[in-house]
Amino acid sequence: MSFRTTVFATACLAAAFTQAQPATAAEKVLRVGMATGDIGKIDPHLAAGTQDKVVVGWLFNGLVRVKPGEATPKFIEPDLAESWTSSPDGLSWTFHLRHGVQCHQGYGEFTAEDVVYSLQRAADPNRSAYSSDYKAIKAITAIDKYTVQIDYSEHVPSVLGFLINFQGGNMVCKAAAEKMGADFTKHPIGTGPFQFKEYAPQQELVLEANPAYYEGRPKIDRIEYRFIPATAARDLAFEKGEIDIDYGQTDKTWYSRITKLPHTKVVAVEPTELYTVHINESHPPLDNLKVRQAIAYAVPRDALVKYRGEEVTRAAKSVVPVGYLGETDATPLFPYDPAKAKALLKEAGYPNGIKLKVVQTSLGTMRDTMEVLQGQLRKVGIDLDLQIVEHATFHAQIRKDMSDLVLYAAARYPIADTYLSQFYDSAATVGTPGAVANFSHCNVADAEIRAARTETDPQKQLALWATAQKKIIENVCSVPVYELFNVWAISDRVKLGYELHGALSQGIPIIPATTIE
Amino acid sequence: MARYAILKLIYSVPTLLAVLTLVFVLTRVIPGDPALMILGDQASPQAIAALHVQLGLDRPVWMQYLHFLANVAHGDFGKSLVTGQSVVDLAASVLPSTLELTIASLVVGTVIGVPLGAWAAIHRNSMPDALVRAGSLLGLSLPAFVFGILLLIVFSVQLGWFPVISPTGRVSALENLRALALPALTLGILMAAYIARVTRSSMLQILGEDFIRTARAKGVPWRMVIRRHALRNAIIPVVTVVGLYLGVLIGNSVLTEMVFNRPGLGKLIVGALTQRDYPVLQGLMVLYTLLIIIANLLTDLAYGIFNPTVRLR
Repeated sequence: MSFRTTVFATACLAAAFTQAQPATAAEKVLRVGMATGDIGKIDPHLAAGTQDKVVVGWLFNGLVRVKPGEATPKFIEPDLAESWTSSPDGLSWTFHLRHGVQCHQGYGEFTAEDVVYSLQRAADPNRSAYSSDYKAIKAITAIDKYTVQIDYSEHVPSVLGFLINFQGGNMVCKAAAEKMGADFTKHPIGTGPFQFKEYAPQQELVLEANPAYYEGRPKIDRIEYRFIPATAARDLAFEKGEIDIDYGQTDKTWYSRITKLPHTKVVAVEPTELYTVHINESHPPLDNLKVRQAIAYAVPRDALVKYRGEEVTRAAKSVVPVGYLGETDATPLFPYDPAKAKALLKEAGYPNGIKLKVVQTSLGTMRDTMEVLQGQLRKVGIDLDLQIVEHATFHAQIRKDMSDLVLYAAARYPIADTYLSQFYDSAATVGTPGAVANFSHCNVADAEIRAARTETDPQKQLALWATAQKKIIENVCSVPVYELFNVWAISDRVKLGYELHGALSQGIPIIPATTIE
Repeated sequence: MARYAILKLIYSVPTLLAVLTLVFVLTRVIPGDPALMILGDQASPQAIAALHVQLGLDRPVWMQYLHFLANVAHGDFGKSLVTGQSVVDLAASVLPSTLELTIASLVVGTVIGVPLGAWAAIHRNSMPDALVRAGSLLGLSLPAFVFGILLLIVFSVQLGWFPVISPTGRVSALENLRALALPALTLGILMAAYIARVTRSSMLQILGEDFIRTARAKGVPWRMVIRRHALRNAIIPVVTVVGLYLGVLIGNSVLTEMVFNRPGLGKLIVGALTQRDYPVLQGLMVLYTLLIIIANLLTDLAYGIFNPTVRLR
């Protein structure tokens, strides 16, 4: 084969995989670059990864919602339900639905039947990852086409909190979910401002404006959600204007580099992920309170925030992330005091220091956080033997109690109960039947955590949560380190149309008023 | 020739079976629970248990293995645990992109590598030779994510000739070629470095042969000697190398696919690995094995075309 034929053959080959592109002139297209190789499940009741939740936020509504741009339950407002009432004992709630809301792609009007179906689905462990949030629901009844009654068997920390447009609170359309079955995860139907258009594996997900959206047709016609796992490629694509919104890195270097680009705004939004070092009390010498206190005194929280970048990080204030309903800094965390840490170790009978075995994920931010901590703890005589493993292995091993310290980063639904129940209630201890993420074997605040869960008086509930935090901090079940924001770079061409402080979906909410020039 | 090809394919059955078993064992040995990866760390234990049942992960391992073999025999590689798509569809949807990239970089590698290697051999121990040798060393040692990013910064961001990320959906042939250029160059340079080295040493050997001296003594013009007699013969081992390298190339496309954000088998397999997506991992490993077997077979056949003396009976 001569060179000329070879080149020609290549050209033909390339042409064979392509077709002509139709001209689309005046369309307003928003291109979002996401740090993922592919989408996982865009079923709101199963979506677990950030890459999935971001999309779910554009596709679905809840009965109520957190005002776009906010991320705390303080801002709950009506969404698919226009109004609601509750019985005097607080166990029976009636929601009045908005009339005329349409499901995507002609699946009909959204009615009380869809609400019943959605909540039953969210409460079913076979179809939902968030079923435990809804186990107190006794019955869901469609009173009429636009009225739904939800009866609870016991009090829950926040009724409205679990009915917002987040995780299990997202409303799906019954007809579509039943028709599609397992395919629903790749072809989701909701009532949100955008609807599913097409999906190309490993490449992109395309959404289009929902023309019948109840708040009006969005100004953006189409969202192209590109999967770009390599940060360098994503940033270069953003720099060149091939994408309008770029998923950033919670990192000082990234932040300072991207903020220098022209026509760019970098936003650090809530919810944050709280990085906590859980101390496994079941492993000696960590059963000794003085040893645990020594660890707490050896963590230089402020220096770590500086290291990570003050624009994208804030110091932890409690064992519950800042801003969660019920979070309080009334009990201060242990200050940085290496001398005291050394003295405590000596008092505990370890004048020559201790050695701890730590299973650590190889995942970027978590790994380097732990490596910095390793250096800091070494200064006071605590030697960490880091066993770096791949992320899935890390998850498996820490759940088998194999690590003395567990660095865990997590964002949860922003009320104190979720964090306390999952990480500090002894019922959630790893290795037990109810295991969730209690890696420390903490059990000092069980009574308060459980009482607060069913407490109806908001003031008493707050007091219980405060006591729980106090006990956990004083017992040093864990050492909270810092909180990392979600960081996004947004081109100045994008006009959000609302004030952005945060978003539970961890993405950038695209509302009907959002537009691109 | 056809009989030879069929025989070769039959010989590959035990290889495939061994690979299947190895792949199955390996995916089960690495720790990590796919259900936890799919549902996330907030999932309730009931939800995780329910997913185990759905995915068939609650059954004993030997039963999973037999099921796996039986399904593979039917050409069914199962469905992705994460997305629920059929593994065959998933692989088929990205295979063209990977083949496109592989073939394009093979072309780039050959077009650059063979002439450079020959040039270096002809000017042995002089400036061109030193240049080619140094260049090929550089090409072999520069990882794709460094070279690729350098190309992107210069040609995409600074000069704006090529897109940073490959366009999606329906695009014109020209646009597709533009998007293919840099990835093919990144991978092609690596290939070229390799080919140049092999061509050079093969060419050196041929140039020392008696028939070359005879041809020159007969007064055949030097250019003709090189083209007709030397290069023709020197190319034979290169074909083998290129063929064997094709498998490696398919594997090496992972980094290039990541940097240029092209869909492809490499990206798919990395994703499947991090998600503990057993069926996808298994299916892709089998596909890789098949591709390498086919590449080797094609090399054998091509060898016969280039070298009539070893043409098979």
